[in-house]
Amino acid sequence: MVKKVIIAVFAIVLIGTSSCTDLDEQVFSSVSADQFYNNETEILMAMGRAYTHLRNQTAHIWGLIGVNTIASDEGIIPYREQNLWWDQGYWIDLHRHNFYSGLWPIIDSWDYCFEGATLCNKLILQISESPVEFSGKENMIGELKILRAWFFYNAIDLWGDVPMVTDFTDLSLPGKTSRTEVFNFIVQEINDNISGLDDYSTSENYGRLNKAAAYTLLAKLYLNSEEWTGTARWEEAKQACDAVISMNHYILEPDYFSNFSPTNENSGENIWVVPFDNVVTTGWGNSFMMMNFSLHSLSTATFGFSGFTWDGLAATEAHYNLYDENDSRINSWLEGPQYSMSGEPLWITAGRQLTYRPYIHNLYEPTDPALLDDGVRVQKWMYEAGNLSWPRGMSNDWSIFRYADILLMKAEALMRANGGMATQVAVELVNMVRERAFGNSDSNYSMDSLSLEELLKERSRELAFEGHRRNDQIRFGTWSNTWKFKDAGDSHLKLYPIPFTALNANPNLSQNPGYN
Amino acid sequence: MKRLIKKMGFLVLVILYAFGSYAQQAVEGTIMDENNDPLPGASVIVKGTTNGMTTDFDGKFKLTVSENEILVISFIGYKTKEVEYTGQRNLSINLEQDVVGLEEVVAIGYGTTTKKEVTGSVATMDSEEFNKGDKTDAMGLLQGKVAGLTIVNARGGDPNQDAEFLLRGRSTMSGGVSPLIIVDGVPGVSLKSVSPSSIKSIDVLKDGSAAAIYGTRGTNGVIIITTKAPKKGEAVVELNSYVSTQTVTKKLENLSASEFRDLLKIKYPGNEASYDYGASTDWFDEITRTPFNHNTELSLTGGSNTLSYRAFINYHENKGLVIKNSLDRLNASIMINQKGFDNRLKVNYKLAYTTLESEISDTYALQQAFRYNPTEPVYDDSNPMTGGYSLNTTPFQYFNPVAMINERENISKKEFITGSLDTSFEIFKGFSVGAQGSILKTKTDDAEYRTKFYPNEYGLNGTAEKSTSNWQQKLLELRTEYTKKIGKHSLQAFAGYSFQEQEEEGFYAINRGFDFDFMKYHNLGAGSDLLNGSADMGSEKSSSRLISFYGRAMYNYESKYLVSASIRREGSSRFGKDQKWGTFPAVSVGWVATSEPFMSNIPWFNYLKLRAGYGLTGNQNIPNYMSLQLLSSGEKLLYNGQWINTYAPSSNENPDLKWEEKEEINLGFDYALFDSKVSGTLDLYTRNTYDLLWWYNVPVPPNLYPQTYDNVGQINNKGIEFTLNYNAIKTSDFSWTSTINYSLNRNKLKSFSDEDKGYELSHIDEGFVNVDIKAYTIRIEEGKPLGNFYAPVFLGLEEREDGTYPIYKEVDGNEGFNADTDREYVGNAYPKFRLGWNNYIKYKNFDFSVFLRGVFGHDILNWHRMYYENFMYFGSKNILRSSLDDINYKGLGEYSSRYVEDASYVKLDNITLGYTFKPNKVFKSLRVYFTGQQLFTITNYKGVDPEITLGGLAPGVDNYSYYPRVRTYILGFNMTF
Repeated sequence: MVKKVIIAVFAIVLIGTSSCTDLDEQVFSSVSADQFYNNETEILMAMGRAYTHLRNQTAHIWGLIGVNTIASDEGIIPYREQNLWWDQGYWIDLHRHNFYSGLWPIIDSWDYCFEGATLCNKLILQISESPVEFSGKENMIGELKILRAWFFYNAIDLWGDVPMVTDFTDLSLPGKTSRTEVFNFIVQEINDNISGLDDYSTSENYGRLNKAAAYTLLAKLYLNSEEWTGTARWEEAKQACDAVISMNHYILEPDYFSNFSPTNENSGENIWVVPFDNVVTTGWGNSFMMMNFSLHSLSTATFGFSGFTWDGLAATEAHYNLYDENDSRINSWLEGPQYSMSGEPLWITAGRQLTYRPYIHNLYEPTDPALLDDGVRVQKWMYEAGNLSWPRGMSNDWSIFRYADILLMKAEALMRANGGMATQVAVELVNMVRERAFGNSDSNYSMDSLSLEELLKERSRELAFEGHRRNDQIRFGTWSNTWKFKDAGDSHLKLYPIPFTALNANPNLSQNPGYN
Repeated sequence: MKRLIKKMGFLVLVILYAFGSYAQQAVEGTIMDENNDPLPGASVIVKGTTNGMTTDFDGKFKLTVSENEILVISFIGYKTKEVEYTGQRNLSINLEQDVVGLEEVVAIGYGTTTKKEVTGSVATMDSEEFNKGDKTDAMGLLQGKVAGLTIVNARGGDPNQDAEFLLRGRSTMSGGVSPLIIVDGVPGVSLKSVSPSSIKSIDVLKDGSAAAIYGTRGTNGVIIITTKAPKKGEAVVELNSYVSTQTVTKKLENLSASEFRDLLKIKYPGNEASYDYGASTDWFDEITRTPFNHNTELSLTGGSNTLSYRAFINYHENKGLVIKNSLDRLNASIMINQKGFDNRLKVNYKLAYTTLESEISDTYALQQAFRYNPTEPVYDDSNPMTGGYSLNTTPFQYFNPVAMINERENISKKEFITGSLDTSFEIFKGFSVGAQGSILKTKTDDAEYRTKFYPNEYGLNGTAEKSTSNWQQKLLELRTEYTKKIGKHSLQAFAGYSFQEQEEEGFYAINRGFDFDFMKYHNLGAGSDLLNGSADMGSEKSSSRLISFYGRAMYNYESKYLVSASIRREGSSRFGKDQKWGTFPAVSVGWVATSEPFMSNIPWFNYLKLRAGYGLTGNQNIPNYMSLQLLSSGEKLLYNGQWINTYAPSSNENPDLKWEEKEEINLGFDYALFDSKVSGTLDLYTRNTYDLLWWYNVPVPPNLYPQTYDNVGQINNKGIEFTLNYNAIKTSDFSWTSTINYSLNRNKLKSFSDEDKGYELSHIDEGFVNVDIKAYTIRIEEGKPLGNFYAPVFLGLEEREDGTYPIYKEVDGNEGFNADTDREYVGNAYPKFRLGWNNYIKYKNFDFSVFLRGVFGHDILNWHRMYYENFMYFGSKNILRSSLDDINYKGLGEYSSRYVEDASYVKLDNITLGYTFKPNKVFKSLRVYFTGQQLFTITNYKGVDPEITLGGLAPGVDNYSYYPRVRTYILGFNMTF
């Protein structure tokens, strides 16, 4: 009996020790990288991540909307009574151009640009190295290179000289590359790879880059070339716009607002979009939640959707005053006493009806703050009735590039090439946009009335809150001007400071001039 | 009747006397100590009989004894002595002092030793020394009692909170800090599955030399819990029960409705109506209650020489102070010890089952109750959308707390199963082999339903969530053991192999849009979100392995020179491809100086043992798969009109990921002085953790994500631990024991960068305050301790025309105050030292104990003052009453040293008064007691409670998530039959 026990114990010992010294990790709920990239679909699913990254730009108010709109003379988030939107003064500092390296929207924008570019680097490497061969593989790599160019375009727009890494295997810490060098690189990248793209967006490639989008990006680069590199390239800008126009595919939609509606995938005007969906794209950094940023929560009753909105983002009074009353685009803004869908007045408290007014009492004066309903609110992206409760967002797709912008850019290129004076073609182009807004030609510009100053105003009315304003103001030289709540600023403010997070992580980066 | 009993009793005595008187003699005697001083109150009993008495004031006794019978003399604090009676008329017996508890068994992991022979730093607590009272988990028993082990109950009276641990300071950046818990030899048992009253003793392996036998899990210490074991003999039934109730000690003090109205007149003259809704509501009262709780447990032990058992069942009901917050626990276990083959084969079986049902509290509702305007009514019958609750949508993050609690149900059910089988067989004397197999299973079922009237979710028509998870651990351990004693040499050695596999699976589903609220989460499929595509569902699975070979040898010479050495070679699946295995050695030595002849000249020095130990341990308490490059399904992409999945790397990969290693040196001594009236231990330690795991910021580009999980950096903790037991008085009727423990720890982040790896990080900022203030509050900097508050320095108030404003120190050299750069270190969240002081007094049948716990020299960031001790939110929201102290204050909610407060405190943790009845026919023993817990706190801290979380890298931040503090009163009894 004793022997049996001994044998049994030793048997257990042997079984135990011989079978198990294996420590490889078993993965169940993810895929390890070496088991992926097996076929075209999988590569496409990997590439998709670079596109979904685009949603960050509109989904995060902290990011690009902050640095491109709230810092401009278009948008504002004042400190309101009851301490709404204090947020340690981020929105106030942005609007006043009190920029510093810890300003959250600047950090968020940096991450958007460089995480996006690096993601493209990695995907380019992995797809190139993948043994899977299929017909469109080279085009796919080219597409990623142009997508990467978009991220670098934003980076040089915001910070000037930036770290530029294009090889994922290069692990050295990058220094800054000059704005001109990055500019030349991305122009080259677009030109080298544009031929592999589809001509324009179709229901198949909706949301992906196409030739028209790449030309628009080129046009934007050339238009800013003088400001960024010191070399004017008006002719190239015009040619890039013409490349889009000559496709004879894009049109100005008769109804301006159809470009921003929840079903704007049918727009013939939107060149490149970031698709959003009320059900599919939800949560921070992934959904489009303009209603939350802008509306007082009582306004949910006006549009008939559920959710609590945050009463923040408004248009500046000066911006609202740019519109003629016959300009249909004035309806981009929610103004006046507010009612529910069924016509009941909306009461903030007894006797005080929610009334959005263009006037904004103060930007930041805790003892005498802006009122809850100061400032007209965004309704350009039409609010859909239904369930918009957190974490849901809107179904309106975000248009990165729009045909109207092409027309206005071409007009600008022509005028600038003409010493800042109107040309006949330029007037016609601007009037196409203007006639659509007024429904008639009564308010058209003439050779006399169209100046660069007027063109900037027209761009602001047409493209309000679409993320172009900062870039336009710098190019037209109004960025450093005084406006209400903002003093005249130094020219170093045309570039944002590099976030402290990036400086801390990479000692080879230096802060931009003027910031310490 | 009484008389009859008396008579009968007398008769019995007479008969007994008559039978017993044969060959008996009356003996007188004196019991004395070593110095021939009489010992009053010593017990003298004839062995195997009930014949005995206690000595009188002069140490004298008188008994009738037969020849060759044995007298057993015992007295607390002295070694029990047996004397064979050889016919003397007068006896004079000297008792030898017992050096306190030297023979006490100490669990050291894979075996035991004695207090006399232990060489590592190990604290042992027996059930008598545990904290008494209403404890929801086993760690409540130890709080404040073990020097160096910090246990924090950060959520006051919430019955569902988990106690937080910290042993000898924080020695990791991102790894877990929970010690390894071993219950009856099985590692990894959840504390929630152990009924506190079933525990016999708890041993805490503190230093590296003691814990290194557990290798990669030893860094945070090892807590070895031994539950009450089967006892052979006749069946003994033990019944324990108590009832308890709670009252509020402290809550956040906001303005009452009338104070609120008075302030409106000052702050909004003429516009009061905008903020005065006409009602007077005490929101705190609306969501709290006076809970009544009870606990009952029953155990049965007994058995023969070869098979003994213990069966145990416990029901515990614990309601929280807040409505819909409770814990119900039912715990049953059976242990069987079996012996065979002349006691050479030993088999222990254990099966334990625990089920918990919790109602999870919503601390956000408590926060709302604080900020909600007291002039708003609770109900508004005219509003059908809200289900009759009042609604105000204007203020940001503002929800009716009564509706939040009433319209939500959140239930968490857990089941724990522990099964273990431990066998050993002695092949020849001193040499045995053994195997232990165990399986642990934890099943969790969480369910939540928020009705269509739940604030913030109007229009969703009800949200139902269900999630389940199954965790299991399989463990096989094989061991051989050898013990040998030759003359004055003793050797104890063992070697073993261990294979552990853990597996976890989870599933969840969320649906919304229900026709009515009746079915709650019991019919998930009925919600409309499933049809429209926005219902949510997910599942996951992960597994890990831990494999080790280990051994230990302990040798001593005459129990005077002691040495112990151990080694563990261990591999964990969690680390990088080439870094799976590590080796963790330890060695410790001891010298009992008082056993040397030269020490015997110092009569008051009864015992002194010097100890020294070194040990290397690891920390594998990180998530699975951290070293791998995994692609997770990410956000959806619109492709060809369809939304398809995308896959992307979820993190930067790191194939070199490896253990954090901690090296510790411990020096200490155990002492007993003055006839062992004074005894205790002293330990000094220094512990260095290398290769700290942290999400290091890396630049993007070239990296894909801005953080990589990697081994960089080094932390040092050093400290002192001291305990002192003082047996002040010891007589038969009256005794008083006083115990003090003291511990001090200093922490330093020695390095935080690694040039070779390209990390030149000098500091990181933590403790981000999100809403409105948006500031990092804590800075972790190379060369400084963790937990430092880095803040603008508040200099005082400045009177201006329109009111008072705060002024801050300018330190950055630039003109003007900048909240980001004009900062200094203004405090630290970790205590400088801790004290525990227990007193136990016994007078006749009464026992009385009082326990005070003090924590000193730490600071807390008081969020509520930072946000609400000003008028920033006033009007739409309530604020702290203390704002009224400076009615003209114009400052806003801002982070500064003003709100970093000294949080030293002393708590009266426990007072217990008990009375033990004399045994009678009904029961063998009966004790009734009353306990008061957390009766008061002495502190300057202005918040609710200075005992708050010390976990994570932002310790000491007293944020919105609070639970009121309570006093608990308990009335109970312990009875055996």
